[in-house]
Amino acid sequence: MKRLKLTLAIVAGATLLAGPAFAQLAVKAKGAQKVQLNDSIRKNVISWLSAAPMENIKGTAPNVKGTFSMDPANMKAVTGSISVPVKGMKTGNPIRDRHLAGKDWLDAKKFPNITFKITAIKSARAAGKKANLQAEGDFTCHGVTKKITVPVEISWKEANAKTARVAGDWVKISTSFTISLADYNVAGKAGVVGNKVGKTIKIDATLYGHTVR
Amino acid sequence: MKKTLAIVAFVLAAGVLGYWVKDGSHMANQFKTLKVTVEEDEFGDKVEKKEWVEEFHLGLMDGALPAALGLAGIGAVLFFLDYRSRKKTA
Repeated sequence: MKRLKLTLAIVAGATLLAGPAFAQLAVKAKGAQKVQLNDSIRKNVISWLSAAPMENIKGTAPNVKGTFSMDPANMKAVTGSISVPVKGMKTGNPIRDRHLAGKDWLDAKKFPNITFKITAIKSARAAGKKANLQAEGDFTCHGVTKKITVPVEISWKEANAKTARVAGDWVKISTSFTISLADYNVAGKAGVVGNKVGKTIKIDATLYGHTVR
Repeated sequence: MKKTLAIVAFVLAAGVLGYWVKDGSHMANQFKTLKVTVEEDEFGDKVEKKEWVEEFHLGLMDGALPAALGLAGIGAVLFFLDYRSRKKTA
């Protein structure tokens, strides 16, 4: 019995010690780094898809702003938030864009931004300069805030001659997840959701930023 | 009577088209299409670059067109019948 307890303690201790190591990026940067999204690296655009029986609508949301705090030695401690203005969202049809930002849909006047704020990292695994996280956070759309958990991949590129045009280490943040319009009280015009507009929206984001001092 | 019905049919056809345009469609929409190209980013990953490019699509393709055309057709037939009956009586 004593031997079993000892074995369990050793396993538990090893797991605790190994935990942070799995969430550690192999980069030189030390301590918490402030990472800011920057369109100069690449255009930060979120894309989304509404798949409905009558029509598939592809859209983009540019002008994404966001800052994060990341300690490469402990990616479980990532915090941060992003914000996207509703008004700049594009669907390829100016009239539809106006409808999207209008009162029946996202109501840009009343709710100008869609935001996601990380509140906790549920799990983090790192290998080399990449980390895969399960980020829990508050997703706010159309004035409604819901807690969701999304998969996030973070890639780190240390500053070098090729990245000199934007100072600091470069960081790429990618995610893909689905939200339900009903969860955020987006009803649209009667009979449209479920026919011409999907009940759920798939969101894909690949965002680029850099460390700032 | 036929003339009145024809006018009603034309007004209804115009109403259907008006609603259709107001609802977000044009007779000839200047749509943009999302062009996706795959390229390698500075991280060495393949990423999709998405750009909106102009693409012309002829509108009038959904349910409003048959309804408006049907009503306009009924109106035209009624006008013709009215014209013919007037000619006969004259």
